[in-house]
Amino acid sequence: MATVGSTRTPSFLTMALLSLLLGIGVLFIHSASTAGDTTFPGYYAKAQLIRIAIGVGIFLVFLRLDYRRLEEWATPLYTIGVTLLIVLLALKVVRTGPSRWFYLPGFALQPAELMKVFSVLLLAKVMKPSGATRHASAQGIAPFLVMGIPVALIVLQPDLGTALVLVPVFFAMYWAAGASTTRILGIMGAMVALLPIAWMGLHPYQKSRLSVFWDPAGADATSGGYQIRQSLIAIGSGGDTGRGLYQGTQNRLNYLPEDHNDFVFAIIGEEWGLLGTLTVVLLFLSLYVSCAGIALRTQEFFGRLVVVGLTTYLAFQTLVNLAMTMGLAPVTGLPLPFVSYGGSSLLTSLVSIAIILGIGLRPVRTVAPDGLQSGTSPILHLGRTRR
Amino acid sequence: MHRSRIQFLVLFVAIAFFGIAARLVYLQHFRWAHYHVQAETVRRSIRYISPPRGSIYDRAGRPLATDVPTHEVTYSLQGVENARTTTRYVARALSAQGSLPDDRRVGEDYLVHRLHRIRAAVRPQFAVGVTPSAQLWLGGVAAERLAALDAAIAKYPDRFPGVVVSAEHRALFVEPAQIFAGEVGVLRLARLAGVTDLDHYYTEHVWLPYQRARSIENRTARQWAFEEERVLCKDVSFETVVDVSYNPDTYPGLQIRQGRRRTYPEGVVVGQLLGYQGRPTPTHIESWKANHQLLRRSTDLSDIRTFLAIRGGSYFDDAQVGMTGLERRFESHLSGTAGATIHEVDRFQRESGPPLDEAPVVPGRDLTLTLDRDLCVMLQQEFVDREAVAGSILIATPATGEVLGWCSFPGFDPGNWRSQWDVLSQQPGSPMTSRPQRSPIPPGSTFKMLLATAALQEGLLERDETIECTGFYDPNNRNHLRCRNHSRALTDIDLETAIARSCNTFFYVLGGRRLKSSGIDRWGRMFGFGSEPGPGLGRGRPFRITHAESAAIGKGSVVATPLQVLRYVCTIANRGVRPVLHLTRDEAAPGERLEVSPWVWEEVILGMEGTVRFGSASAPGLGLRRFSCALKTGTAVQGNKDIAWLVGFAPVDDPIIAFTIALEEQDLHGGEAAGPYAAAILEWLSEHRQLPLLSQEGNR
Repeated sequence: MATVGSTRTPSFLTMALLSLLLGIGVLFIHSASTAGDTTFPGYYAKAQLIRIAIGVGIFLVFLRLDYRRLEEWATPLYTIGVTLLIVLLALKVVRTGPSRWFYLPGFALQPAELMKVFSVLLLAKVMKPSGATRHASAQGIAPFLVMGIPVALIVLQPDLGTALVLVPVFFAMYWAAGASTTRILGIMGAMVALLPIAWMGLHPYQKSRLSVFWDPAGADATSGGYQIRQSLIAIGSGGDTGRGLYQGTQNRLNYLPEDHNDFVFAIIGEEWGLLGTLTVVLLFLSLYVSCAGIALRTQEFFGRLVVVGLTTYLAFQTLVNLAMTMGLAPVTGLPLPFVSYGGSSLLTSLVSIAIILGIGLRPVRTVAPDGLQSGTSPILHLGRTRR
Repeated sequence: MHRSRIQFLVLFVAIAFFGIAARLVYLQHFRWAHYHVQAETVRRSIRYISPPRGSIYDRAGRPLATDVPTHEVTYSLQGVENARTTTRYVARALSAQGSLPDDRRVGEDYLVHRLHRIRAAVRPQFAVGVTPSAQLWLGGVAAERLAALDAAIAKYPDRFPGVVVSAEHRALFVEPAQIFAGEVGVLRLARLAGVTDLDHYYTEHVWLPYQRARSIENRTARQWAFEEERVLCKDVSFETVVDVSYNPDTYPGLQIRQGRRRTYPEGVVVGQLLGYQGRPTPTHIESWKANHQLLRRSTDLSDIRTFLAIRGGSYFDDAQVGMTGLERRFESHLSGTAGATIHEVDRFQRESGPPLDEAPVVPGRDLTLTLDRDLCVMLQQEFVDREAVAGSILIATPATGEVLGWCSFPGFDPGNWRSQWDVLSQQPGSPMTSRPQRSPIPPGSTFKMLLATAALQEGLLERDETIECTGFYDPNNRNHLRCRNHSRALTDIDLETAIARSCNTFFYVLGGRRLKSSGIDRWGRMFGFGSEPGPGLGRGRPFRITHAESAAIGKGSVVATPLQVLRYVCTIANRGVRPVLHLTRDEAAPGERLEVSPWVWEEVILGMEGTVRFGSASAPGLGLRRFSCALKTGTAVQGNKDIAWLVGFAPVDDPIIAFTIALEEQDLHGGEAAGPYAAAILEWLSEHRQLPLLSQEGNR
């Protein structure tokens, strides 16, 4: 029985799930990048291991951090993120080319990735009810502004995939915060109606990526259709038990471009088969369900909403990536959290999961409108086991 | 905050994950076979191997046509003109990491365009062997893009040959010697091969094919045009093979491949008979297509069983096929069956590892002819030594029909006739024509034995009957149908004298008054005129007698190929068995016996013996009396020159050889012109093949 406000370690299960996913990621990044003919770890796997080491350091920092400090920092962090995005846009105008990265020594920073976390934090803050009105903040214009600004800036980069992740995150948080269902459906309807206008604003390569999703056969080798076709062949040819680690021909013979990156799941499918893919899917689902459990356990509004937002972001990105490798979604360039090769994405995912777990470690005493303290009322927690 | 809403969200995500799982089960369990076949198909690439062609040997196993393994230098446009591939990598590295270039200024097409301009500027320098310095490829590049490119170069130096990044100038330079290394390698090879006009050589072999390949609209065809293995240099020297094999960096994109060259060791000897090889004509291609025999090298079969099923009797569109002569007639026998290996290839169609599967090549079968090579060489030499213009000599074993000696003069060397075409096309005597098969000529007086046989057998001539010869057939028309073959003192001519001295009047009477056209026609066909003397030996012209008198002395409407005459002579030598002439033992067939009484043959042969004893080939200077032989001379008019004939067999009683000699463009009569040839042949055969051809007189 933990005491309120104390610091515990996160559950063994969650950490095990996370470690397994990271480990599988490193293994298949090695398989995808070297085809087994160089000794472990090789260039890519080594780079990923270094990133994981850095990420774990940051993870521990965020795990120790009292999340209520994040509520205080939400506005400044968000401001920094937006500023970075504006600077990138300014650079884009100067350089006349897409710009998504800041090149730091030994590291390329992608502000859009960080912005996912910052936006969730500020959204949770602005949606938090103030005073006696329980749902007032959820009805105002502020959440739309908080979400709309980064989405617009990221779309302009252009990085449609990352921007699209923020939309379901927003809706999940908005709905969980108590917004009326009819209102949310109305907004969604309006957005769908605006899609044709958005289509006109897309870049040609984005259009081609989307159109190959509808017509994969008409695509040539350099566009997304080729990748999806090769990815499907890789997954499908894996069968029940796979071809064995390092044995995938689609992987070994380089038929699948970006296989250590966005399409790493296809290699898992090819080399480990249905057994491997279902295991990975189960690992992800268990991780997110345990995160959802934290959301349900958390009584404090800001914390709970942050958990909902970050879990939605991770789950949505996972689902979109998996769907993409199976030809169910267009090629968006969204990596598979914890598994794909990549710096900013891995870092953001680890920071997100650290914040979620950190919140889970600190059930905060809250004063409910009925005057009872959270975590103390035997009535509110009836039928719930808290050890 | 609504707990139920969060629970609903969890449910929503869980359902989505179950959807993903369901899709995985569908793809990996139920659709496994489909995708497995696709994966297996995409990774396999077939490499076809042309079969070595069978050799052609003479009766003693001496080579007449053989395939000699050679070395060829090959290249693919992709390998030699690699600038485009490099450009793609540069464009990719310059644009934001991993994504496609949006900015036209660093687009691939622009870089290629710039590169072509650089090439145009430096090509004149290359052509004279000067290596130009680094050239500006792209200026004003953002620093972090250059940094990204630099990192890419550090990671994969092989992908960026000759690309130089200058952070100081914020520009991209290119070393022409490296990015155009393929070009330099080709030129180096050309210089080694002694080519003088290097610029022209490169344009011809690489640049024009490259331009053509670029303009192909169909994507697959274009890709194939870039990947196709092309022959740059055939039959390269040992030094070149060593140089190219051991210095791949010096000759990037060039490869050594085993090639084959058809050689004809005896050159011009029996060249027309053997024929030559060549690239298939559109007619060939069409007929192969119609018979489903066409294999295209670009056909990408992923299964060796499919290949095994279709390869029999099939041809590649770039195969060498027999175009004429025996090379053509025995094409299916000689050509063999193509083989193939299936290799694992990566995305860039590069082979990796040992072959996964292979269908061994089945070499073409050898062909052994009945010809005696040395005899043929000797015959050819006779023509050359005696400065003949044109003609043919054929020698056969009458009992079996085997053709032993063959010479058609002038001839050509099937190994290199193309390079000598200018000379050959101007040469008199049409050297490309195989005379024994394809040149029907009047047989002249050699035809007379046919009339004698026919008349005796049909009872139109008594055994000792004589016919008066006054020098004219028709006293009322003395300018027509004359006989000047023997002295005027001789007026009453019997058959022996008529044949030996070749009396025309005797045979005008037999033909014109007794046998008539229909009789000559019937007997001509019996002796095989107008029909094929053996498989593949030519039919000549249809045999039809219109004027009996001129036909009686082998002129007018009578024309025959030397091979038809040879069979006719063999039939007499066999005393009535008409053999099937043939060039390979497989084609041997039993002869056909003519319904002629044996005494008839002896009467006719007696006359032929007389030719040597006292007749038209009896001049001591000819040297034929030493041999036991039965001959017949003939002279036929061809334009304003004569064709000198001498046919016969030896020895008389049990003939081992029969021969025909036909010399065109002659001023002398048959015996005078052809006699020395016959003597040389008989002499050579007795000496070198120990044939018992000498007469008792000769033996003494």
